Order: sequence, then structure tokens, then C-alpha cells
Amino acid sequence: MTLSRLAIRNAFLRNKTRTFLTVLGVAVAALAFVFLRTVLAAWYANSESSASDRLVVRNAISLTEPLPVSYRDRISQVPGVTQVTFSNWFGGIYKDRRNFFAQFAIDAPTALEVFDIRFVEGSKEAFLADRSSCVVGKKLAERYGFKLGDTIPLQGDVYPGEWRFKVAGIIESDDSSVASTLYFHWQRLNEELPAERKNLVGAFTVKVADASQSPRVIQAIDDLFANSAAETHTETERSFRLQFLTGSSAIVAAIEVVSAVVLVIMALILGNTLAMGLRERTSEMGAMRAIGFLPRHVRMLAWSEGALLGLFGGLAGVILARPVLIATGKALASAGFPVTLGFRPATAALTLLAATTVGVLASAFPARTAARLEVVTALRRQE
Amino acid sequence: MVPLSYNVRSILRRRFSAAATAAALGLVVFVFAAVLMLAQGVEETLRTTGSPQNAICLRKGATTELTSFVSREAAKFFAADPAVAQSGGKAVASPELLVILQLERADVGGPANVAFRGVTQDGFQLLRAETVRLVEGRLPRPATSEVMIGKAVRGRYVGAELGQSIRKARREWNVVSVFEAGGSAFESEVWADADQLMQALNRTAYSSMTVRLSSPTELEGLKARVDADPRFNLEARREDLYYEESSGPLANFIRVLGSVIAVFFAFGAVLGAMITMYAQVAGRVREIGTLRALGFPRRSVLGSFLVESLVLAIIGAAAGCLFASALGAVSFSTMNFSSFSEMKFRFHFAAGIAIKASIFAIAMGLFGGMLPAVRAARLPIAESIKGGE
Amino acid sequence: MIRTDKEMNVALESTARALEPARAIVEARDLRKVYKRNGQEIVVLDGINLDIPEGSFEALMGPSGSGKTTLLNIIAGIDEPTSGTVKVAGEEIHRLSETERAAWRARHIGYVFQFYNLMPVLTAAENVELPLLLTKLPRSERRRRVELALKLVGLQDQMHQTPRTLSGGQQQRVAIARAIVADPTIIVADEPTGDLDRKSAEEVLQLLATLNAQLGKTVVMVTHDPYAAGFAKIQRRLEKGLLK
Repeated sequence: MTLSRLAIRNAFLRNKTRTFLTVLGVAVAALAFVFLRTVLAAWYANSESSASDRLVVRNAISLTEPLPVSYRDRISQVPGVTQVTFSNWFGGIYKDRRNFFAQFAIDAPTALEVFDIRFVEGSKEAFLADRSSCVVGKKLAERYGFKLGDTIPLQGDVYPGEWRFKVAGIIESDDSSVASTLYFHWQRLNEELPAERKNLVGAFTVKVADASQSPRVIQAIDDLFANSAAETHTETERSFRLQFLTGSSAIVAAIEVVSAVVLVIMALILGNTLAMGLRERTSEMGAMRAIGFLPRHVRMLAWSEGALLGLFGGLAGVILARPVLIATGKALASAGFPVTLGFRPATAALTLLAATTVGVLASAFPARTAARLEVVTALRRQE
Repeated sequence: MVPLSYNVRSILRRRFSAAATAAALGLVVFVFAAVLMLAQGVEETLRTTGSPQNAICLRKGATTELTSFVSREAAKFFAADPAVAQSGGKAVASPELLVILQLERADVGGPANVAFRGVTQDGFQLLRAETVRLVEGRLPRPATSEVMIGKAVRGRYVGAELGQSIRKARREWNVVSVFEAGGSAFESEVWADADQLMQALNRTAYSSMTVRLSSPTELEGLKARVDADPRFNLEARREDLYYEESSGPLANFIRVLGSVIAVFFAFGAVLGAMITMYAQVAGRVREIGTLRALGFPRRSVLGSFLVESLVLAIIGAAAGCLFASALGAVSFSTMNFSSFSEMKFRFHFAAGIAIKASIFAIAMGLFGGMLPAVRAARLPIAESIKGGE
Repeated sequence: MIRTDKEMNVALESTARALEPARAIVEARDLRKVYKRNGQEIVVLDGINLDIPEGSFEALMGPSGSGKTTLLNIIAGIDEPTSGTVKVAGEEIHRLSETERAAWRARHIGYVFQFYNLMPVLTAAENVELPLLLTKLPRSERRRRVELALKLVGLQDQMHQTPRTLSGGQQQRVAIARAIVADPTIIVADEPTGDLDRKSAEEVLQLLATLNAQLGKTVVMVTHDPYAAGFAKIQRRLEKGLLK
């Protein structure tokens, strides 16, 4: 037997009800922590998956202002640029306003290359051959049960009207946002538009030969169109995607604050239990000191108990996290936010670490009090 | 009944535990209240933006003004509709163009999406001037690039200050006044001359037209006529309801997220209360046995412990409400999902929220204390007076 | 201090000891212990002079408040005198630092408490093993000593039981096993039978007497019970901080 075994026994066997409740409390807190961190990760997921060798060119005035499609040729001639494609945000509604997913009109031949799109089902040729076809991301297809050959009706919002597209392929890419998006042919969109809205694109995506050259290419592109009717604003894909987040940085900050508060509550629950446990054992610890154990032994025993309870509770919370995440993902989706709250090992590890650390920290104060007690005083207390 | 002072002093004897439990419950109240306050704040901001006396005309099916088009002819045509109130011979109607422009943040730098609203002179004077009041400066002159900025915009972006100008779309938009609008979403906007804005952005149509109804009963008639007209593909909605709906996504998001968190916190609070109360019972076995031997019935022991959990819960709830009310002074800006622009929201603290959150916490505290209290009441007398602590 | 087969050497050693002039294992000179409480001074020990010969079985008696437990605690190294000197097993323990005293205690003192103070979550064997964790002995050796100690107190069959399943007398005997497992110089007992019924008390006291007689262990016992004191070789009385 070693002192660690004593710590384990003390942590779990003493007062089983209390241990159970404490572990449960820590588990709930750990669950909340995993949940919040996952929401945050999902928030940033989009920007995290951006490619370092892609740039986005858009109208300098506003995200919602278009650029002439004719800019494409001039952009592709900028040194360092290997490929140029463009897209328009379509923003249509599939049956119900709550079924929200992204739809883009793209220049298929170039877009498929720039975004390294892989066909899971169907083929590139089929998509290119049929102008009124579309391709859907794998996750999207799973969510709504889209299959090859299905016709997807969309109620246009930015571009009003009824639109129909036949599924010619199911796709995926290293860029995770592709899996939840629908793409169709820009030419199809353009031919239906009234004159004043024709030949305009939402943004260009540019592939550069060398990511380290990006700043130079960015400057070159913007210089090309400075002082023209539609000035451009070019940036890396990552910074483009991040801007959607900075707008809601306050919410992100709030979530961070709440996840910190969760840890505080965890500490309170653990600290409370540990303090109670240690108080009950004052005379036992006095006996250990009398035998010859040092204050630091007593302290370490207390820390180990805290760490053990924290670790165990954290583990329980992490295990429970999965079903909760799935359920919340569904709830959010029906409220109009189809975020995939995926269970990530990194988050789990972080939570376990946090829970264990909280356990040690929470036991710090009671441990110090217990260790500091004079042997004589400790023995006198027969609580 | 067991005297209250016994309970209070018993709590004081285990100060650390009691404080920890009260703190946990207080946090529950705080978070719960904060979430409710935020969701309500979002709704409030957007609800006060619209008025039940006004109707807004948009493209059929448009979820936001941004994707809506109302042509000049349509605006002229419907302004003359009988349902629209008249003032001094003119229709109380305001055709407006709403666009999102990218401005530079003044503090941290970096881009921000800000709503610019182009209004007409008549539209402003007749319709908007009722709810929008100048705080400083003078009205922008028509047919110029002068603009007025909402309170929440002031100082937040580069150039957004009286006497300065905002550079965008190859124009200098001179800021000549600051306005307040009763805490509504308009305060996060920049208002310019509609024609000037249209020119700068190469637009030919407005995004919407808001009209004052001559009487609330006229709404249905107006809706029918707008809907039926084949030329223009528009619909009319009550203005306040339109804004309320647009708050939907953000408020819902906050609610869902907040509810999940609140559930977690509730669990934590209940467990914390349980642990503390169990310990309280365990530490007083002999006292309880003595009380019972003296003749106090079981239910008074039960009641006594429930009272203790209640006291802890009340203390926690009070502390939580206190901190939550301090939140009422905090406002923060975030992106309203549907309008895609930055909007400032406050935490709306109301007595109703405090009450709800407190009841919630007290219920959690009582629930947590229930089992331990039952256990205390059930302890057999003979053993208790001998052993225990 | 590693001895091999203890039992064989026991007889030889106690005989040898009996032939030697007894040396004082405890030498206390002018011990004073004063407590300050609320600004008032309380004198618990008022100048104790005491020699305890090695191999003795001493009972310290006296009414409550007489300071006997305090004296015991000072001898055991878990309390410090306010003034005076105390030399135990050749060491002036009042000069040692807290950490040094802890190490010294581990080697020289075996403590038996009134309320046993066993760890409820450990088995009897594990409880007895505790003091050995402070030594560098390998696991096999530790196990051997634990078995031996439990055998000496007659509880080897209860080795794997937890204190909860043992009677008061058995628990105290486990505590005694724990006190002797590291082969201490002195066994110190504070009201060892205070919480026991007559029969168990007798077993415990008999055990202490045996340990003293056969293993030559010095035993210093505090008690208020004359019957218990009767098992000791020397009885001393403390009253108001002074030895009578």
C-alpha cells in the first residue's frame, strides 16, 4: 500500500453519498464546460478551416455590394495569382425559413479547382454538363436526405423567384464549410437576372502560388482597382471568415466568461466537499502526524483527493457530453442555426485537465488549514 | 417549532460550507437572470424600433430590408393609398434605402458592418421625427453628403463624431448631428439623404417604405391592396411586428444557449445544496436526537432543515440578483444575425426577471435540501443521542 | 535498526538488559508548559523533573487538567515545552525543528490513542503498515513486519478487515500493532482503555504488559483508571502540573 492508495480510498470510500453527489456535481460542471468550449470551437470552425493560399476579393464599400465579373481577367494577370474564381451568395430558402444552409452561385470549372472539391457521389462531368444542376455538401445531403438526381426547390431571397436545381453530385473538401453548402452554376443565375443586376459577382476567390507572397498580391489587386467605380478590398480567406465572428465577439466573450464561471462553481462544489471531509478527519491526520508524517504529506493527500474527485467527475462529464451535444445541435438547428456541435478529443482533454486542476486548487485552502494544524490540537479534536 | 435562531446559528457554525453553497446558488441566479435579461434586451431594442401605428412595405417574402426592393414608382403609388395618414397635404410616408457599409472601428481597428439608412426630407420630418430626436447638432441639409449618426455609433467608428466625416464609397459623409431614438435599433445606424446614398452606390430603388396608418383599422385594407397589386410584388406588415420577428434569430439563439446553460447550473446548484445539507445533518446527529428526545415531532425537524436550505437559497438569490441588476448598466454591441449589422443591446433588468430567477434558485435550494432534511427527520432517537458527533 | 528474527533474539536481549544497569530513556529537567489564552496565562506543567528508565512501564495518573496528557505529548515529541529540557532516547528533542522531530518520532515513538484513530478506509494490515511507509523498506519486508505485529497482538486472522467490522478492543489492538510495527524505542499511550469495556481493557493492558516484559519496550501510559495503572511497574501522580 502506498499513500496514493490511501488518497484514493479517502476520496471515494469515506462517505459514499457525498462522493457520489460531488462527482455528479463536477460532472455537470465539466459537461457545461465541454458544451461551451464546443460552441466556441464551432463558431471558429469556419475560419479555422480556411486555406492559407486563398484570398478573397470583394467590394470595398460593403460586403453586400457586388463587383463586375469583368474584373476576373485583370485579377488573373496579377503576378503570383494562379487561379481565380467567383461566387454569389444566393441566400435562398429551402421549404421553411428554419432550414437554413448556405447556397452559392459559382463558376464551376474554376471553383471546383480552387476549393479542391472532391466528388463523393456523382461526377464533375455531370455537374459541368448540366447548367441547371447543383452539387451539395455531404453533411447537407445527410441532413435533408438529398440524393443524386433529386430536384431541390429554393425560394430566392436575394434573387427573388422560384429556383430548382438537380443534384448532380455530393461533395466534400478539406475546407469543412463545403460539406454544409449547396453550389450551382453562376451562368444559370446570371441569365435570369434583369439587366441592372447582370454580370455582377459577390466576391472573387484567388489562389496564390506562394502563401508568403499574399501581402504583395493583396496590395497589387487592390491597387489595380483603386479609384475605379468599384474599388476592391482584398484579404486572406481566414481574415475574411473571421470578420463574421468579430461582429459577434461580444457573444463569444460572454461564452468565455460563462465557461470560466462554470469552473468557479466546480471549484466551489469540490472545495466544499473536501473541506468537510478534511474537517471530519482532523484526529486521523493528527495521528498520522504523531506517527511521523509531515505536514506536506497531509497536504499532498488532500491535493490528491481533490485531483482524483476532479478527474473522475471530469471523466463522467465528458462521457455524458456527447448525447447533450447532439441534442443541443438539434435544438439549435430547429431554431435556425445548423451548427455541428462535434465532440472533439481536444476539448475533452482540456476539460479533464481543467477539472483535475480545479480539484487541486479547490483543495489548496482546506489542505493548508489541515496541514498547519498542530498535532496536539488535531488529536484533541474528536469530531 | 424548532426556533429559527437555532437554524441561523447552525449555519454560522459551518460558515465555509454555507458560504460556498450560497455562492453557488447566487451564481445560478446571476447566470439565469443574465440570459433572460439579454434575450429580453435584444427583443426590447428591436421592438421599440417599430410602432404599431406604422406599416412597412417590403418585397414579398423578404426577411430583411437588405434583400428588399421598393421602386420609386411603387413608393409614390402606395404613399397615395387611402390608408396612409396625411399631414399638411402630404402623405406621412418614408421611403428608405438600407445598406450595410464597412467602416473601420475606432478602438481596436478592424472592419465592422454598419447600417446606413437613406431617408427623404419629408419622410424624416413627417414620420421619423416623432421617435428620432436630435441630441446635438443640426439636421443634415437635403441633397448633400451630410449625415446624422445614432448615439450608439458615436465614437465607435473612425470619423463617427460631430464635425468629423466618414469616408466611404468615395465620399466624405460629414457628421452634423447625433440622434437618439428611445434605445431602439435606429441608434446603431447612420442616416443620410436617400438620393445621395443611392447615387453613391449606384442604386435605383429604395429597400422599403414605412407609412403612418391613418388609423390602426386601416392596416388590413392596406395589406390587401399591396399584396394584390401585380405590378410591384410587395407586402405590407405592421412595423413593430416586423422588427420583433427580425430579433427572432438572435434572441432565439441566446435563449437556446442560455437555457442549456441554465439547466446545467440548476443541477450544479441542487447538488451543491444537497452536499452541504447532508453534511449539516451528519454533523448534528446528536443534536437532532436530543431535540426528538425532548419531544419535537419529526416534521419540525424536517421543517427546520428545509428552513435552513431556504435561508441559504434566499441569501444566494439576493446576492445573485444584486449582481444581475448591476449588469443592467452594461450594454454591448454584437451582430444582429438577420440584419447583418452591428447593433447595441442592453441587459434589460426587470423585476419580473429577478423574481423568476430567484424563484428558480430557491426551488433548487429547497429541492437540494429535501432529501437531507427527510433523512434528518428519520434518524432513530436512541442511536442519535448516543453516537454521532 | 533492521533486526532479523526478532522473536529469537527477544529472550536473549531482555535477559541481557536485565543484567545491565537501567539507563534513563527519558530525562526531563525543569519542564514548564504555559498556555496563553485571552491574555491569561495558564500553567499546565510547572517544573517537571523526571527520569524514566529504559524498559520501564510507567503510568502517569492524575485528575483531569493535571497536565498528564501534555507531559506525555512532550515526551512523545508532538508538543514543545515552554522552558526546560527533555532528552528522549539520547536526543534533546526540544531542540529539534518540527520536521526533524517528525522524523525522530517516526523512528522512536509508537503512539496509542484513546479513540484508536485508525483510518476507517484501510484494512487492519494497511493501517498497521502506515508507519512503515516512512521508511525505505521494500514491500516484502513491510508485509513481513505487519504480519508479525498483528500476530503479536493476536489479530493475524483479522488482517484484511476494516476497523468498522472490529470491536473496540480489537481496534485498539490494531492500533497497538501499528504503534510497534516500526520497532520504536518507546510506546506512548494516552488513556488507551478509556473507551473500552472491562474485558477489552484487560486484553489491551495485558498486551501492553507483555510487550513491555517480553520485548523490553518502554511503555509510558497516561490513565485516570487505577485498575489500568495497576498493570504498570511504576505509578506517578501529577497534580496541578507537578509530580508528586
